[in-house]
Parts: sequence; structure tokens; C-alpha cells
Amino acid sequence: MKRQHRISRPRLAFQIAALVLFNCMVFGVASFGETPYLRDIYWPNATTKFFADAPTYSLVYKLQDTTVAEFKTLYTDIVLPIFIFIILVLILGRVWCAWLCPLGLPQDLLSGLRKRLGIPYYRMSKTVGDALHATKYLALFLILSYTVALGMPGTGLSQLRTSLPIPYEWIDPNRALYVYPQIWLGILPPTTIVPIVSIGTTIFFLVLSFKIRRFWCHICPAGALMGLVHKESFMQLTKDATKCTSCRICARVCPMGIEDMYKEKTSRNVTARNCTHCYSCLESCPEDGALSATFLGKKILTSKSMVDYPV
Amino acid sequence: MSLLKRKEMKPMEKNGKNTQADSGARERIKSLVAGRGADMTANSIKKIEVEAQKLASLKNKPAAMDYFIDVARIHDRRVAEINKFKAGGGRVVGTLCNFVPVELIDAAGALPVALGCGYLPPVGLGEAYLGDPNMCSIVKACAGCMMIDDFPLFSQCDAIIAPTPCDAKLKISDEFKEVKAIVPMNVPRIKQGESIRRQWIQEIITVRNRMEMLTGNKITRKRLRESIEKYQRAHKAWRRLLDTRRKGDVLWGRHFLLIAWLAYVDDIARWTENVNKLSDELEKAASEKKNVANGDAPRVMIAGSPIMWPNWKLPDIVEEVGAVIVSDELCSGTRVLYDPVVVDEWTERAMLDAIADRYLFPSTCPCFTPNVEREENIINEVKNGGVEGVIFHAMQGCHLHTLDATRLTNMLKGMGIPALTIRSELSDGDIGQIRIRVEAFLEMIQANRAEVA
Repeated sequence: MKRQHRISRPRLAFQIAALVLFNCMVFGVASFGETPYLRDIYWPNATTKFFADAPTYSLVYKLQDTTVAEFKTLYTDIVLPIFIFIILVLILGRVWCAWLCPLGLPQDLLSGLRKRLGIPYYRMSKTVGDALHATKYLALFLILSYTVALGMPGTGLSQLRTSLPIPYEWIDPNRALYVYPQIWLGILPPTTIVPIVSIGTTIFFLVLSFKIRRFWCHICPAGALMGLVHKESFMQLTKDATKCTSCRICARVCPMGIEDMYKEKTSRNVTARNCTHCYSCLESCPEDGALSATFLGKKILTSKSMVDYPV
Repeated sequence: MSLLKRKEMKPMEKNGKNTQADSGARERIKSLVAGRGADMTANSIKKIEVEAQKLASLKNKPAAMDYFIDVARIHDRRVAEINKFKAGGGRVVGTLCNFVPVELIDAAGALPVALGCGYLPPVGLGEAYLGDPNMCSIVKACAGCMMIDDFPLFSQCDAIIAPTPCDAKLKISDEFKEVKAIVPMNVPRIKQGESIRRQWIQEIITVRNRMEMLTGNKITRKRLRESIEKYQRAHKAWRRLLDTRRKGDVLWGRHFLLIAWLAYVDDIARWTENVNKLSDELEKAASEKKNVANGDAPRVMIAGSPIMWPNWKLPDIVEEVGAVIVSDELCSGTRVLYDPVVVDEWTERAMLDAIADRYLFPSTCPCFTPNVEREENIINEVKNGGVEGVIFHAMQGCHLHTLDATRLTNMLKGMGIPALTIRSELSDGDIGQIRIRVEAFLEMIQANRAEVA
């Protein structure tokens, strides 16, 4: 396999497989039925709500639905999902984002199309990037506080909760992107409603993801939630500073515009909060062993020397 | 995106028929050279022949080395090739430093030729013209060569790209603007921050535009990609040679430095092919444990000011007194092709960004501050290359390298690694003194060894 595609090709295969599995409902309610606890295993990152209890029903949905529903079953509806979420993110970090997320694949395919057409990507300045990363935490906070306000009996809004929109369903580009194909495939009934705002955000998302690499990941609230736990996860990106020549290739190829792995001169763990573990940096690094992906301290992938470069 | 647009620019005047006031540079040069040009050229060629002879007669010379020694006699084969290229309408672009993006020159259809040199005869001429005896001899030699009418490589250049890492190179472009078409390149001294990066990309784009104007060819995506890949192959071959060299002392440092110097003088595709041939041969030698020197020869690293052909004084001394140069941190050595241009997508902007990044960020030139890359690179080479001592070559008048030599010598001594600074010039007058100092240094290394054992 060509060295440049050493990681991106398997990643694409993983993404496609994950998409098929998610959409065919191999996991979750479809396979485990209504078994307690197992029913509550949701992928931490997928921002989709195809229908209730689907495995791609992310924690953000779960939290907002639960809070809207007046905290009836505190343990199974809030504590357990959060616990499972933390465990899943601790084990794999944000590997979920680059390798398994159903929204990652269309973004990567759009970038691939752009590359083929020879159109350059739009490079966000650091200020804009930082602002977007702050926005997603703000969005997460607003979504949750809004739904809490809807769910709390004391606020007086609880009577309106059937008529007011649930925010995350509205902004989620997955809705229009995957619900229509699923209706077409017969997985969902044709009467499924897609909010009009979601169609708008989907188009917005598709256009911007074409021009900006991994645009949705910059503002994804589910990613924001994972980012809180991600730095402590078993999966880490580590750097051997003595082997680094500071050539800045890693920072340039990073679709999330992260510069930590380039700037770091001493420490070994360079996993940034926004890192999606796509390993573009590791794939392009021309120094043997300068960057590596570790699982519980054990190296599973390392950068290779220029000697193997396929030209 | 406005950066990418090819701005309207005045066409480059050939050999600088400038509209500005003529300060009489041509007349001054003519009177300073005073007809001695042919003699100086002949003497420089004689020096090349002597050094080439010396390299050819080294014991345990790999057979693939003959090609490089042959091309190193530039006045012979290489100049004929360049003249042939020029006769076919091609343009030749001289480069004064490793900061020059050769991929862009190549993509424009021009031929890049490195002008860094160590000829002694023209030094006095350059010194008289520039008027500063305290300036580095390499730049003085370059200046002298530019003044002579018929000097190999220098007289073939249609344009010269002169980056400005140090004061001497900065002023070269000013002093010769009336006689040569010179494109200066602003090298930032601090390489941190987004604005610096943008400024440097702009500098790279300016070079691209000037190259397009010079040759009349548009640098298309396809051409640029082909050039980048051509140089990537060279990088790959170079890394392979470096790896092979780590497997055992199978190559003299003097031979290695010559190959490095030729990287930007020779035709890059042919050079790559021959480096690969040499690596094949050396890999075989390494597996048979055929070392060039004695098994107990001290393993030395050279760092500091560039060592330019044919000024092989320091490497000659070091290897003649019994050491072997196993590694170096010279911009005329390992660094020439060490850092590759890695492109993530083949769009025009991404390629230009990649080229810009490659020439600025990994550079270990002493003109930068802070210069952590250089410290790390030296420490890394010492640790991984089995280096027993570091010799800093501080060219007289090369302030940046001299200052860095002091700093880095102290750093290395603090780490328990023997280090020596040699201050030297291009002339042969100090050979005896340098030899004594190097001998003492090697004895110290051997004494250290005995102590450890």
C-alpha cells in the first residue's frame, strides 16, 4: 500500500463499514432488544437520531430528551448513559470521530472530491478556528440548559415542551443527510419528519465541508462533549521530541488545524482536545518514530522515515 | 487567495540594465579585475583538479564515487552540459543559499545551479570590491567569481536568487544589482507566528512569479507536481545514503561532503540515480563490514560554516590525522536535501505552502533565534550516529556560525561530549596549526575512550 494512504485507506474502510452497520441497526435495540443496560449503549459521537433507541443516538440527544422528560428515571436515563459514554471515550478517545462517525465520511469524501478537482481548501485563521471551538462548547451548554429549562417543572416552560422545538434535532445535519436515504431503503417509515432547519443546516454543512476540511468537527457539540474526557483516554498521540525536526508538516496537514504536535518540544503526549485521531500527521511525518499513536502506552502506529516514500 | 494571483511585474532586465543611476560598478569591476580573470579561473580549476585527484586516490573508495568526482570537475563536463542547455534556449538560475526553492526553478523549466563555492584565488578580488576584510571568505569568493567574466557556473547564470540569512549575503544582492539580475529573498530571522509564515509564502510566490517571467513558462500544477516529485526522489535517495552510512563507516566524510555539494550543481535526476547506485554498493560493503578507516578511528562530526568545494581543507586534515567524519551538521552537507517537501493534496496553494514550509521551518541555519532545531539536530546526530566528538568549523568573518559555535560547544561540553571550534579561512596558511589542534582533540577522544573502558 502506498505510504501516503497507509492510514487513510483503512480509515475509509472503517468509516464505510461503520456507516453500513449503524444504518442496518446491527447494534443497539435492533440486536439487543429491550434488555436493560445494553439498550443504553450509544455511540458517544454520532450526532444522529434516526429514530429513538438507535445506536447512533448520541449522548447529546439522550441528555436533552431525558431532561425534557422530567427526570423520571434518573439512573438509567442520565447516570448510566453518562457512565457508558465516559467508558467508551476513555477506551477509544476521539477515534470515534475520525474512524466511525457517520458524519466524518461525507466530509472526507467531499474533501477527496475537492482534491481531485484541484480546488484549494480554505485555511481558517487561528482566531476563527479558536472561535469555532469555543462556539461548540457554548452550543453544548445552551442545548443542555434549554432542555433542562424545558424539563424542570418549576420554570413554567414544561407545558410547552411538546410544542417547542428540540434544538439539537434542528441543527443536526445528519437528519436530512441520512433520514432520506433510510426512508428510501425502507428502514424508516415514509412519514418521518425532517425539520426544515435541519435541511438548511445540511446544505450549509455540505457546502462548507467541501471548502473547509472537517468543518463540522470544528463545531460538533458531541465532539465538544467527548473533548472533555478525551485527553485522559487510553488512545494517545505521542511525540518523540528528539526525533522531530520541526518541519511543520504535521500542523499543515491537520484537518483540524491543530499545532500542538508541531509546537511541543518536550512532553510526549500531544493529544489535543480537538484531535480526532485521524492520524494525517502521523501518516505524513517524514521522521522515523517522531509521532506515534499509543494505546495504554503501547505503540500501535508510528511515523515512518522518508526512505519509504513512494515516489 | 489574492496572494496566488500573478501580479503584473516589470520584465526582468537581462544582466541588469537598470534605469537607476549607475554607480559605475561595471567600471570598478573592470579596473579591479584588471585582466587577471583568466589567471584566477585557471588557478581555481587547478585547485579543483588537485582536490579531485586527492579524492580519487583515497583508499577504499567505492566504485560509484568515480561519477561524483568526475562531475565535481565542473569546468569540464558540467559546464559543457549547461552551455548545451543554454544553447537550446534554456535559462540557468544561480542560487546562493539553501533557502532557494529549487522546485520552483525546475518547474519553470530553468536549471538551478548552486553557486556556493570555496575558491581561494577570487577572494582578494571580492574583498577589494566589497571593501570589508572582516567578511566571510565564502561570500568574498562568490563575489570575486561574479566579477570574473568567464568563471565556470557563475558566468552561465541568467539570474541569481539571493536569500538574505546573513549580512554578507544580503549585501551581495545590493552590490551586484547593476551587473547581474538578482532576485533577493527576505528570510525572516524568527520563524514563529502566523504573520511570518504568510510573509515567507509571499516571498516564495514572488520567486515563482520571477521565474515565470524569466523563462516565459507558466508554472502549472502538473509541472510543479513533477518537480516536487523529482526532488522527493532525491530526498529519498539522500535519506537512504544517510541510513546506509549509519550502518558502518563505509564512506569517507570527504566523499560524502562532495556528493552533498553536487546535489544542487548536478542534474538532480542523474544525481539521484548515482546516489542510489552508491547506496547499493555501500550496503553491500556494510554487510561485509568493510570499513574505510581503521576500526578504532575516532568518529567525528563536523558542524558550523559550510564547507564548499574545492576548499576541502578541514575534512582533509580531520581524516588524514586518523579520524573518520561520520556525520555532519552543515548546510553544505547532510542538510542539503534532508527535509522533504511533503504535500497532502496536489492543489496549487497546498504545494506552494508545502514548499514554503520545507525551506523555512526545519532549517537549522544560525540566522534564526531561537534555534532549538539546531541544538536538537546536533544532539540527535551525536546520540544516534555514534559520534565521539564534534568539530565546529567557524569561518573567519562568519559571525552567526562563530557565535553559534561558542554556544553549542558549551552546550556539548556540559553534556560531556568533546567539542572543538576551529576558526579558519579559505587560505592554506593555517593547515599546520589546525592539524596540531585536531590531533590533540583526537587524542583526547581516545583518552576518554580508555577512561570509559
